[in-house]
This record gives sequence, C-alpha cells and structure tokens, in this order.
Amino acid sequence: MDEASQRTAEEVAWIHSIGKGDKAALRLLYARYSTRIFRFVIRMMRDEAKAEEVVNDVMMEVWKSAASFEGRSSPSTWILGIARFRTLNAVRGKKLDTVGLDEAPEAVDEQQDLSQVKSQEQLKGLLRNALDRLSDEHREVMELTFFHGHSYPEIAQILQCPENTVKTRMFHARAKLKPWLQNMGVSVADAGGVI
Amino acid sequence: MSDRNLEELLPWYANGTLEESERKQVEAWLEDNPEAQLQLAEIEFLNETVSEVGEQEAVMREDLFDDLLERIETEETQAANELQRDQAPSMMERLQNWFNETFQWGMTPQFAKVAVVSQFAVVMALGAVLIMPTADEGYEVLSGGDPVVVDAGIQLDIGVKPDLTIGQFQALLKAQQAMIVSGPNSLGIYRISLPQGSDVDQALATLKAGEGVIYLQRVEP
Repeated sequence: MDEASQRTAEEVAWIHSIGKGDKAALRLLYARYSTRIFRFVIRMMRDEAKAEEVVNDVMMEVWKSAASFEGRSSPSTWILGIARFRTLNAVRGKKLDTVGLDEAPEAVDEQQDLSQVKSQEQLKGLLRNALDRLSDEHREVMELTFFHGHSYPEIAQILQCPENTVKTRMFHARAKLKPWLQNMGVSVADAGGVI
Repeated sequence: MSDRNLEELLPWYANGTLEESERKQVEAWLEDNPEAQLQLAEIEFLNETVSEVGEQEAVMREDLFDDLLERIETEETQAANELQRDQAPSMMERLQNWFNETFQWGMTPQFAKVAVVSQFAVVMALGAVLIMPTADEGYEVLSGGDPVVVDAGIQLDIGVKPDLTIGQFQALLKAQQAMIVSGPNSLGIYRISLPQGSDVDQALATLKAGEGVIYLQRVEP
C-alpha cells in the first residue's frame, strides 16, 4: 500500500470512530484537515474570522455525518465537498471578492519589474500574486489539484460539476497564467532550472 | 485522444492522480514532444509554488478545536433535552394511560365507555358551576358568604382611613348605637345599621364629622 492509500485508510478509520462518538479521532482528523479547509475556504471568502467559523461548521458536519460516511469518495473529497457547500452558503448573496487576471491593474507594474527579478523565490512570489488574482472557479481548481492533490474526477465531485468542466477551468486558468510564466521566463531555462 | 485532451490531463499527470491508462497515453505524448515537456515544466512549477504556500500555513489552532468541542457538547445536551421532552407523555396521553390502567379501558364495552364519559362530563360541569364567581363578586365580606341583614333599620356605607384603630372606629359607631352589618369589601367600605327611630340626618352629620371618616353614604332601601 502506498503512502496516499495508507493516509486514506487511516482517515476512513478515524471517520468510522468519529461516527461512534470518538472525540480523540475527531481531533486527529481536525489536526490534518483544519488548515486545508481554512485554506480552501479563505480563497473564496477573504475573511479570516468567517473562514475559521466555516472550518468549525465543516468539522461539526463531519462529526454529525461520520456515522453515515460510506466511503464512496475519499475522506478528502468528502470533507472538501462539505467545505465548499458551507462556504457557498456563508457567502450566498454576496459577490465574491475576485477579479479576473486580465483586469488586475497591479499586474502591469509587476510585469514591468520582471526584468530585475531573477531568483526563483522572487518568481514564485510573483506567481502567487498572479494566482491570487484568478477568479474563484479557476483558483479552486488549481488549489484542489496542486495543493490538495486531487484527481480531476474527485474535483468534479467536490465542485459538483462535470469532469470536462474541471479540465476546461484548469485549461483557462493556465492560459491566464501563461503570459506571467512567459514573462517570468519560467518556460525557459532563465527560471533557474525549472526545466 | 487528441493533443488538446492530452494537454488537459497534464496537471493531473503532474500531481500523480491519473488512471494508469491515461498516464501511459500522456507519457507517450510527452515523449519526443518538446513543447509538451515545456508545458509540463510550467505545470510542475505551478504545483511547487501552490504547495509551498500551504506548507507555510499548516498549523492547527487548538483554541478553535476547543470551540468545536464546546459546540458539540452544547448541541448534544440540547438534543438530549429535546429527546427527553419528546418522550415525556402529554397531558392527554397521561389521562388516557390512567383510564386504561384504572378502568381497563381497552376491554370496556362501548356503552360503558359512553356512560363513564357522560358521568365524567357531569362531574366536570358541576365542578365548573361551583367554582364560577358569584354575581356580587365586587362585594367581598371578610367572614365569607353573602352579607347577613341583622337589622331592618337604616343602613349606611362608611369608609374610614386605613390608620384608624379598631377602638376609634368602635367608639364612632357606639356613639350612634350603630352596628356593623357587613364588610369591609374590597374597597374597605363597611355597611352599618342605625337603630330604628334614629335621627338619620343627625347621625349622618355626626359620623361625617367623625375623625377618620372618609366616605359616608346612605343605602337606599
């Protein structure tokens, strides 16, 4: 069994224990997921206090629903699915605080400085800024793929959308980041050994 | 699978979550395809950048977990209370149970049930009549019951200050040979009776002038 499968099996066992009222198991799951949930949620809410509330709402839901968890999806997919639902409920009626990369005025200034930016750390910093300016739909697909390590069928399950939509969103997100990557020289050897 | 389709799979090739068959197709496409390899390099850089942000933030907040436990305990207590309330029989259920236990209600014939219910209704109606207020509700007598007429003479209603002593009140009445017929009512008014043949006007004037008298009214026959 590989490491990822071991983690999943461990989490499934915790969830079953939680279903029987085991608070120690809840603590273990909380330790593993609270930060991940927070990170997932804060990207959509941009409000730390509310995001913390949502984290606990999600874990409360986990506590209540653990007994009915059937393992049809991985614990991670299940938990992030709850997190997304809770977050959308929390921000319902409010316009999410996002702006398309093309519309971001700061992007111009940063691109102008790129000639002086050479270290990989600086490039990553700029890329993170660029990621922050993606729309929610694009950013959450990026995060679920690269930070949470989900497959595209799992992401489709979390986001409640077709698999092709996930692929399309990722494709467009990359297209929006492409000018940045090219300007940073990431796509060539200038990036300091990226390729 | 088209080039576009294969390109779309690259992010999940990079994070290692593709199915075996898809992974093989992507690998075959990448081979001898420098442009695709360049795209993969971009994606790996993205992957690395996004992952690093997460590593910086990975700290569990104990205080938030404590809040969660507190919330769970509160909800569990509330749920237990609600359950207890739901399980407790209602007044009607308790009455029904009492009937069943006392009269073997389930085994009682229909005509007997009608008889019992009718008797119960009669008892309830009588009880209601007994506790219904009387017509003279506004006129309360400390000794209870309706006022008793002890003298057919002239009657007066008299009210005195609350700080007037019983001795002073008795002296006031004695001077006119008056007797208390009833009272005081809820307003503190006494009904008194003057002896037959009294000079009513004189008695009224004297009582009116008496210390502590605040109300005096002749009762019309």
